[in-house]
Parts: sequence; C-alpha cells; structure tokens
Amino acid sequence: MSAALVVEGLRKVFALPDRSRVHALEHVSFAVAPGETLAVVGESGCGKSTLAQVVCRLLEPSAGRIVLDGTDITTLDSRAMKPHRRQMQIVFQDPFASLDPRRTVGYAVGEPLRVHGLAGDAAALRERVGALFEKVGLERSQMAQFPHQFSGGQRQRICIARALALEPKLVIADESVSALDVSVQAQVINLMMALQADLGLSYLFISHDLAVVERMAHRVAVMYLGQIVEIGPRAAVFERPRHSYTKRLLDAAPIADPRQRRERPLLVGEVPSPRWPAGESPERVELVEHEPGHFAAREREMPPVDPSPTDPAASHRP
Amino acid sequence: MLPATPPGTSPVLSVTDLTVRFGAFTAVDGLSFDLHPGRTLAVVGESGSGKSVTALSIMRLIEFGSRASVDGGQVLFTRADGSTLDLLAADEPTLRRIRGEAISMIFQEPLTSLNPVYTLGEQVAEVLRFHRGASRADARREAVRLFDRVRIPQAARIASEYPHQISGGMRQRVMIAMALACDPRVIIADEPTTALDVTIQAQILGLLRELQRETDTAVMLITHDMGVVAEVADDIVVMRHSRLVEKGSVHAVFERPRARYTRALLSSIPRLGSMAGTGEPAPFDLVDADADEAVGADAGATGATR
Repeated sequence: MSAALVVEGLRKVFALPDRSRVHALEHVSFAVAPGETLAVVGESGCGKSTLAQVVCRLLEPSAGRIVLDGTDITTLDSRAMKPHRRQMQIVFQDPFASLDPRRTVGYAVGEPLRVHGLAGDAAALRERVGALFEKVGLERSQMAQFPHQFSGGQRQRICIARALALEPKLVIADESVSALDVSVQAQVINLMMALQADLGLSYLFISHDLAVVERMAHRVAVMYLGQIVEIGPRAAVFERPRHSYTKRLLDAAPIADPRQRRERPLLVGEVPSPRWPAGESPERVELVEHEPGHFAAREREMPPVDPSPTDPAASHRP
Repeated sequence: MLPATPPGTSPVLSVTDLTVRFGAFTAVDGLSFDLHPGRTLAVVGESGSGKSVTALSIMRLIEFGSRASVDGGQVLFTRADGSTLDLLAADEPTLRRIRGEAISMIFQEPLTSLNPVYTLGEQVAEVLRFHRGASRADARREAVRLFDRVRIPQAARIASEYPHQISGGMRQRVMIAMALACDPRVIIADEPTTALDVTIQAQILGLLRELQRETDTAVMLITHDMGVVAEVADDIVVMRHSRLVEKGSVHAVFERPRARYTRALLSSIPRLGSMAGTGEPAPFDLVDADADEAVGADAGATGATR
C-alpha cells in the first residue's frame, strides 16, 4: 500500500524587500501512511503552517517533491491538480473565518461536491450533505442554518464535514482544535479519531500543543527553524526524546496535574529568527536513526538560545 | 492533609456576592472568593463564563465603554496599613490611585497594552511618575532597575526601544515590570501567557512565581488552560455560565472534584505524559457536564473552604 503522502526535500524560501530571506522550510522529508496521524509540532515561526500550505499547493515550494497517493503533484497546473485536490482537504484553525456568513452551512458542506461536479440532483445532494452532518455529530435539520447560529465547536464540525465531502484520503489539520474551549476540543478530537477509524483517513496534524499531540498522533515530527530535528513514533519521541530542542519543548509544556509540578529554571531565551541575510543560508541538519523509525538531528553545536531579545536578522548566528 | 489557608493571613481581597449585568444578561452572578497574600488563585472557565468580567469588575474597569453595571456585592480590599476599602463603593479618584499602584493588571496581548509611540522605559516610568511623583530621571532609572528585575537582558538598551522592536515574550516581561512598579498588593493577570509559545510561557510563569515569592503579592490568574493552573496556582475558582461551580485548593479540586462540571472539565484535558507506555492514540473518556445537572445541589466549596 503506497503512502498517503510523501514529502521529499521540501524547501520554501521567502525573499524580503531588504534582500534577506526567510527559510521557512529546508530539506523537509516525511511520509504519512494510510490511516496514520503524523503530528508536526514546533513554535511560532518554525515553518509548520508553511508546510501545510505548501503540501496543499496553496504556496509553491522552492524545491522538493510532494507525492500524494502515488502521484507527484509538485508541478501540476491547476487543471491537472483538480482531481487530486479531492484526495487532500484542509481544516483551518479559525472556524469563524472559514465559513461564508451569507450561505447556509448546508450549502458550505455541499460546495466541494458542486465544484467537483459530483453533486447530482438536488435531492441526492441534500441526502449526501445530510449524511455528512450526521457523520460529524450534527442534525440534518441544522443544514438550513447560517454560521452565526453555531458555536465554535459546531462550526469546526461543519468545516470537518466539508473537508470530508469529497472522501479525501488525507486531511491536513492546521491548529484545527487550538481555538476551541477545552471540553469542545476534546469532543472534536474524539470525532477526528472516530472518523479516522471509520474512513481510514490520514491526518497531517499541525499543532503547537504537545498534550493534544500526545493524545492524537501515531508519529510526531518536531520542527525547528524550518527543519525537522526529530521524527518518530509518538511514544519514542515523547518518552525518549533525543534532540535538545524536543527536550526543551517537553520540559516547557505545562502538565495538567498539580502533583507533577516542577521547579523551572529562570531562563531567558528565545528561538532565533529563520531570517537570513542575502547570500547566507542555514546549515542542513543530518538525521540519525536512534531506534527503528526514530530519527533525530545530529547536534554538532546546537544553535544557542538567542540571548538577544530583539529580532533583527543581524543578531542571528546559529 | 488539605493545604489549608496559611494560618494568620487574612485575605487581601475579599469578593462577596459580586453580580454584574449587561442589560438583561447577568455576566457574573453572586460570585464570592478570597485572595490571600503570597498565593495564586486561578479563575478558570470556558469562553463567556464570566472570568474576565470578574477581573474587570474588581478594578471597576467594566463600566468604561460598555453597558455593564456592577449590580451588587462587595469587593473588600485591605490596604498595606490594614485599613479596608470596598472597591465597589469607592469614587473614581480613589480608584485611580489604587489601579496600577495597589492592584495592577497584566493582559493577554502585550502589544495592544503598550503604546507604540513611546519607548518601553518611558511607559514604565510614567507609572512611577503618576503614582509616586518621581522625577523624570529617577523614574527612568527605576524603570531600568525593574527591567533587570524581570530579567530583561540589556535592560538599559531595551528601555530605549519601542514595543514593535522586541518579541512577544519580552513585551510581556515589560508588562510585568510595569505591574510591579509600585509594589502592588494584588496582581490580576488575565490570560498572561495565552499568546506566547510554550517555552516562553514557561519562562514567564517561572518569573511570576519567583517575583511573587520575593514580594508576597497575591496573584489572581485568569486562564482557560488547566495545565497552567496545575503548574502555578494554589487555589482555584471554577466558573460556568456566570456562576461559581466549585472552589478550593488546586490539589483538592484536581484530585477530588465535587461538581459534575468540574469532573467533565477535567476529563477533557489532555495531560502530557498520560499516554506513557502506550503506542496508539486514544480518545478522551468524557464526562457529560449536563447529565442530571444539578448546579445548585453540587456547587460549593471543595476542601479548604475560603
């Protein structure tokens, strides 16, 4: 069985007006198996959302290959891309910004079917949309309502229903549960897991929340300054982290159990900027396999925690 | 075994039966709790449960630019000299002396709390000039000292920079420096780390705790993040639909929650490390908050009653 998604040597560089460049993605490679959740974790600016957008081809990669269910889609034009878009859908963070306020939510969920010419007649479409509503835990009778009549969690269910309309193999979830209240977040996570078991979906689950990722993911990739510094089975990465940045993230994440309260060193330090002056670029990390499927970047000299609180690229010397 | 109220400390802030309305809507309904020196009280609840309105009402900031009215209750604040004052009955000039001096606030988004056209040092110095009547030069020197205290590297240089020139974590340190400027008795922190990355959040929470140890300040921490609560709070107030659901020590409420809603809330929290030893993802085993709901019946205090 071929992988749902393979990404090889993916690179995305943004040029800035002052000729410096942001290396948002560098040499990013991974595969997502059918029915698997690969979580991508990291802090602001690590490149995880750029990754989601490049994989969807909402942004063009600077280099590298994207292989979706066995087909290289990296250079397909929009017409050739269209049939492959069915295989891959995205759910964004903000369910308020992702739905047209002037259209019923039933229309929103049916829209992908219409765009792809799969709607059939009105009765058939209504039946399919109704089935999707039920699949995500909503009532058929809610199809005629408008987005403002729903809570954040219900809207995210609507966005998930819309993503599932075309029966994709891969769903890219970019911080899809981050904006939700914790009890609603848990319900949506449970829904996503149930749908995965039911439909064999693969998820590329982009998140900053390690506790959520621990719950959801089969495998985890840790990103730092545009590169994957550690990737492997969730249990291996969480219980036997190899890279110092992974350890730093795990140490920093709060644990929702007062019995496990830890003293924290009074550190001051921030992740350096991924912005590089013209003519310079980051050194490529070299991944070493520590146990089957568990890779971590070899650390020659770990980019030091940047002691400078200001951001300019000038102060950036990893 | 309950971590009881430290003996002999009386609350620095005592909220009784606070009720706040926006027209016909009751945003806070009969809320009571106490805040003690040197302790951190977390006020938790989901969006719209009334936690931020509670904070703004204590500072009497809720009445600015909204149709809100504080309809009842008492907020007794104990001054450093031992005298008490009901903030809900105080006049505006009195409140203006208290805000930023005796009680200060830290908000979620430091970029919107800082003025973009003044340097960071000037903004902290302003607090000292207003409340302490410090001279421009003295206030400026004190601001740099405060930046040092919140572990801002190169404090003198940062003091002459503008908000957009520094990172979000550093901005929040500046907000903390400003909150500390007049040695407040109470700091109200409304989601102070929600906009920050997790490694920066850990630094800011560690800093707040360290400073609290040094100063014996009472901290009221408003948050939706139960991980943060478990890490830093001593006591907890759980709110839902404008009302108190449960209060008590953090240990008691996490280990033996009494209200069904608290149990539901705790069942939905992902706890880092809880999946150790397993390979596969696992759904949450959720408690339904509303099954045979009896808010009145099981609401109340858990453990150490305040």
